[in-house]
Order: sequence, then structure tokens, then C-alpha cells
Amino acid sequence: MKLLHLVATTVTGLLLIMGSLDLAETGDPAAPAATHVSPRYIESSLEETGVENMVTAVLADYRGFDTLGEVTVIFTGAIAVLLILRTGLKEDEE
Amino acid sequence: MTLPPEQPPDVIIKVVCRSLVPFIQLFGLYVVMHGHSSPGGGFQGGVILAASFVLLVLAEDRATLRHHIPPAALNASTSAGVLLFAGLGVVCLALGANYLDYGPLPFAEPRSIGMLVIEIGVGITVMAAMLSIFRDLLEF
Amino acid sequence: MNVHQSAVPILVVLPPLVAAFLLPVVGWRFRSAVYPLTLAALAFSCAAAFAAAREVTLRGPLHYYLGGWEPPWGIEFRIDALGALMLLMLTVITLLVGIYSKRSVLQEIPAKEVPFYSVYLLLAAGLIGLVSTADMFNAYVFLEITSLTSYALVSIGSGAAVVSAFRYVILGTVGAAFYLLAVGYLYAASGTLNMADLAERLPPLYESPAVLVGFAFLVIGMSIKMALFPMHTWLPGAYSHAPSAVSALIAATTTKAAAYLLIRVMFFVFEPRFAIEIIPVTTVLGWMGALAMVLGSVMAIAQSDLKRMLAYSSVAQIGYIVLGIGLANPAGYTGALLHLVNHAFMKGGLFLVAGAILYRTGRRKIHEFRGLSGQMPVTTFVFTVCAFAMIGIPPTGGFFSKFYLMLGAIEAGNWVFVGVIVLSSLLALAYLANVLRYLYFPTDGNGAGSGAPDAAIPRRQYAPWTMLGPMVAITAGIVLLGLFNGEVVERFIEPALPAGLLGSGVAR
Repeated sequence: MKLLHLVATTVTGLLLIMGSLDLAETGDPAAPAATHVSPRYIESSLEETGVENMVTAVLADYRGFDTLGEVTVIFTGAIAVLLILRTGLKEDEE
Repeated sequence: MTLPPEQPPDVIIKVVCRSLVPFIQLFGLYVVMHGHSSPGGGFQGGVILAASFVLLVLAEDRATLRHHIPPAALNASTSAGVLLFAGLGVVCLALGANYLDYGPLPFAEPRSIGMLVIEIGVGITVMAAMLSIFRDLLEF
Repeated sequence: MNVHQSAVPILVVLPPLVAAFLLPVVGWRFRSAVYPLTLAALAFSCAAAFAAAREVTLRGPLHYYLGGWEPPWGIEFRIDALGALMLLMLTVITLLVGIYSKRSVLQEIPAKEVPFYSVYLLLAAGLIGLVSTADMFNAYVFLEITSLTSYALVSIGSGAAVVSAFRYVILGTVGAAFYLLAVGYLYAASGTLNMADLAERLPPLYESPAVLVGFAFLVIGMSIKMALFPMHTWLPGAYSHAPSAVSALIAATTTKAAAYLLIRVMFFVFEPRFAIEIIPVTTVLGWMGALAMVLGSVMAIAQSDLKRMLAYSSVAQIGYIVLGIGLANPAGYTGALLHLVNHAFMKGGLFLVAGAILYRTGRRKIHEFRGLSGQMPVTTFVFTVCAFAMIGIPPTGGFFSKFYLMLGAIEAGNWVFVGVIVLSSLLALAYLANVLRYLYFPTDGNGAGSGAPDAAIPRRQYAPWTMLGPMVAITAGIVLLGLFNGEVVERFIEPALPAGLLGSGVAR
């Protein structure tokens, strides 16, 4: 069983390395990630959204729904902990 | 689960932490509000705000949290933040735009203000969620 | 390009999401409002799903640009025929289980309705979002919401629920991490997250290692999430220890959502030829599915606890779906999707029955059910219909999905798969008939039984109507899915048949 784990881990690691070697260099201006959608964010986010910080423009406007999803995850975390740990009876005494 | 009896908080720790807290909170608010033009935003600012309360509770005792933020308020603000976010989207929907399309909001710079509103919503929820989890673990 | 924009998709996901946020505010003050508010949100969402399905069948796929930003810059919701089918299935199941949950929640997890229903609605919203979105990263966000909520819901169950939930957390997180890595690789290679845009930009990159590794990770991640055989270890514990309503909901939906995501990416984001020829994933999946079908059923036979037996049977049923995906021809694909929907209904129904029996009698072991048909006739009837569907007896839906899978296997010339489908159905007959035997016959096989029904149970004990209603509705659903299976295939599966499956056009 332990051998199986070793094999699985090694294979996954090798795959990761293999895939990563194929990726573009950090900061490569010709990388697909830098040439397809990014130019519009960089060039027109200020004028389209009125916000100087383009990271904020992407997170809160272009992809604002993802951010809603992420806050939902945090909300879920809080409610889940409440569901698991709090007995619920305590709430009545306040 | 039984916890060891609480030590009476040391006066130096208490004073230092108490005086630090307002500065941390001010910085937290700055991070929330200033996400537009510098790194920051609701997530980071919310965590900083939550950390200030955690520091306060660590320096004082467990009753402090309950004293400063009543449980009901904590529950309400966990929801209030996300409701602000999702609600703004519903307002956009009601104004005839797509969900979370801040364009038609009745402000001078609708998109910028829309983003500010959702960052504040995120900040409130993140802060309250962190504190709520902290409280649940504390009182478990 | 002529895209049909419609606001319906957002109206399906918003009600449960907003209601989930509202519940903690409203709930602590007006506890009696929690259940009606939950049902109202789920019902609204269900109605919107029907509207969406209608619009899709009349006018083709619906698009919705969130934030008003067109893809690939913004996030897009896209509902095609396949998405509409999934939406219908998910919203109907969440609504029915929601109605059912009232009494069992009161009994099993008292005083926790507020957070329970909030998390329940979040799970519903997550599932709906997952099948609506056309964005790879947005799908990850919704996948996380569904996973987190499932972990929480499992952990509040009985017995070793916490341990099972912990195991589920670990494996589920590994699965999600694989998916996220896959999305990362695909984005780095192509520069986009939108599914339709990816489908356009990927073909020239099919030979690149990043895309190959990304795809492999995606398949692994989703296999863990849908509990495909060697990665199924989280499932039996999670399903058997969760509260009854939760077992029914997650057994019916979460693994299906993962299967949907796999199908979506494998056949729509990538061209089918990628998974068939470039990395022969479909072949591997087909055999793994076959293995799951046999071993899952065998393990189900060995169980004495009803919920645990049903859980192992789920492992086998996931095998059917994966086998259909692995066949990668139109008949197999149709069978996989039909089985996905059918299984959601029949396994949901079976878990509801298990919950109703637990609610009324407190019994979980199969041998304790002796003569229960006399006391709980409707519940027993529901179990019987669901069991017939699982075995594949016409006119239930289960027959037709297996029929299509058979057809697919024959078309592929793979007689081993044909044999496995028959064998697994026989094994299903074995474990379900065992339960039916106890339910219907007061004495055990050796004639040594106590004869009279157990005195501890009053004579007639119908489950409460909030439980019976959904159970009967699901039974009706199973039969309707069987009777109108041609309709389902014609309206929802054929219009969204991915181009380039093996032997396209030969089936039917």
C-alpha cells in the first residue's frame, strides 16, 4: 500500500514538473495569458471602470461574480462552523 | 471540553494591546477603502479588522468579544456584508442592467462607487466571519 | 455572432443564494419563517429552471453576461440543452428533499434549523451555479461552495459522522486542488477561462505538455469528486453517517455535478477526439467504470446497514455513468446522461425511504425491517419502485438508461461491457431483493422468524406527509422519466450532442 502511495505521489510530481516546464517564462510578454484577455484589462480598465488599480477592476468588476462566490465561500465557512460547533440553544438566551 | 482557568491578564499586555487596536483598525479601514488605487480591498482589510478584535480578546479575556460585539450583531453582520454585495447586484438587475453591472447606478462614477460598495460588503463579511469562527472555537 | 441573451439563468441561482444570506438574519428572530423561506427560494429557483428549459428547447442556448462584460473578459452563464436538463434535475431534487427535510431535521439535529437551511440553500446555489456557468474558474468557485457545504452537512450526522466528514474533506480538497491546477495549466497555455473560448483556442495546443497535464489532472480531480472506484473511499462513510435528508441530497446531486463537469470539459471544452485518441482517457474510464460497477455492487451485497448498502450501490452506479462516458459514442453518452438523471431520482428516493424508516422506527439494519410493509405501506411501495428502477425493470427510467448503455457497448463491439452491465444489474437485484424480502415477509427465510410483526412498532405508521409527498413525487418522477425517456433524449440530450463522438450518427 505504501509503495502505491509512493508511485502515485511520484507520478503526480513528475506530471506537475512536465506541465510546468511547458509554461511560459514569468513575465514573458508573449505568453498566452498576456496576449489574449489581458491587453483589454491593461489598456482600457481605467476608462471602462474608473478605477486605477487594475487588479481591483478585474476582481470587483470584470469578474465580480467570482468575488461574490469567494465571499460566499467565506460566509459558508462561518455558517458551517456555527452549524457544527454551536448547539443553537445558546442563541435563545441573548 | 474544559479549559484551564484563565490567568488574569497582565496589565502591560493589556495597555499595549489596547492602544494598538485603534491603529490596526484604522489601517484595516484604509485597506478596505483604498483598494481602488493601491493593493488592498475587502478581503485583506476585513482580515486586518478581525485581527484587531482577536488581539483585544487575547490580551483581555473571553468576555471582551461578547462585550464589544454582541453575538447577535456578529451574526447579523456576517450576513449583512454578503447581502450588501448580492443586494447591489439585485439593484443593478432592477435598474435593467445585468447582474453586478454597476453602470446604471445613480452615482457620478457608478462603476467606481459600485466597486467600493462591494469591497465594503466583502470587508464586513470577512471580518464578521473570521470573528464568528474565532468565537465559536473559543466558546466550544 | 448571434447569441441569445436571457436573464433567466441568473434567476435560477439567485433565490437560493440570497435566501441563504437572509436566513441567519431572519431566522434567529422568526424561527418559524426558516422552513417556508427555504422552500419559497427553492420553488422559485425550480420554476425559473423550468422557464429556462422551455426557452432552451424553443430558442437554443441561453447566454447571460454577468456584470455586463462579454466573454472572454467577463463571466458568462450559458445554459444549453444539457445544462437545462441538469438544472431541472437539481432544482427538482433540492426542492423535494427540502420539503422532506423538515421532520427529519427536527428529530436528528434539533435547534439547528437556521444554519442547517442556510447551508442547505448554499449547497443548492452552488450546484445550480456549477451547471450554469461557462467559465472554468467560476466553476471552481461553485465547486468549492458545494464541497464546503457538503462537508459541513455530513459532519452533523450521527455516529462516526465527524470522521467520515474529515475523510471527505481531505479527499474532496485533493480533488478540488487537482481541478484548480488543471484550470491553471489550461489558462497558462491558452490565456482564457471561458469554456467556449477555450474550445476555440485549444485545438492547436493539443500536443503541448501543459494542456495534456491539465487535462489529466482534471480527469483525476473529477474522478475523486465523483467517487470513481479506487477513489471512492470517502463516499460510503459520508453517505451512511450524514443526516437522512443530507444523504438523499448529496447522494443525488454532488457526484452528479462532478460528473457533469467532467462531461462538459471532456466533450465540449475539448473535442472528443482529444480524450479518445490523444490521451486515451475514455478507454481507461470505461474499464474503471466497469470495475466500479462490479466491485461496488459486490460490496453493497456485503452490507447490513441500509444506508451503507445504498452508498456502495452509488459507487456502482457512478460506474455506469463513467462507463457511458468511456464508450464515447452517442448511445453511450446518451445512456450516461440518462443514467445520471435517473440515478439522481432513484438513489434520492431510496435514501429518502431509509430516512423515513429511521424517522419512524429508528432502525437502520436491513434485518430489522422484517414485515415493515404492513406498517409503512407507502414507504415500502416507494422503495419497491426505486429498487425496480435500480435493477432496470421497465417502464422505470433505469431500464432505458441501461438500454442505451447496452446499445453503446454493442456499438463499440465491447462484449465485456455488455456482460458487466448485465452482471451488475443482477448483483443489484441480489442486494435490493434482500431488502425487499425483509420488508414484505414477516418471517425470515428459515421459517424461524417471530411471525407477527414487531410489537414495538404500532400497526400502521405512515411517515408524515412532508416526507411521504416528496417520496411519492420522486417515485412518479422515476416512472415519468421512463415513460417519457424518448422525449428527454430528443429535447435535452440530442440537441447538445457533442460533435465528434465515436461513430457519430450511427446510433438510432
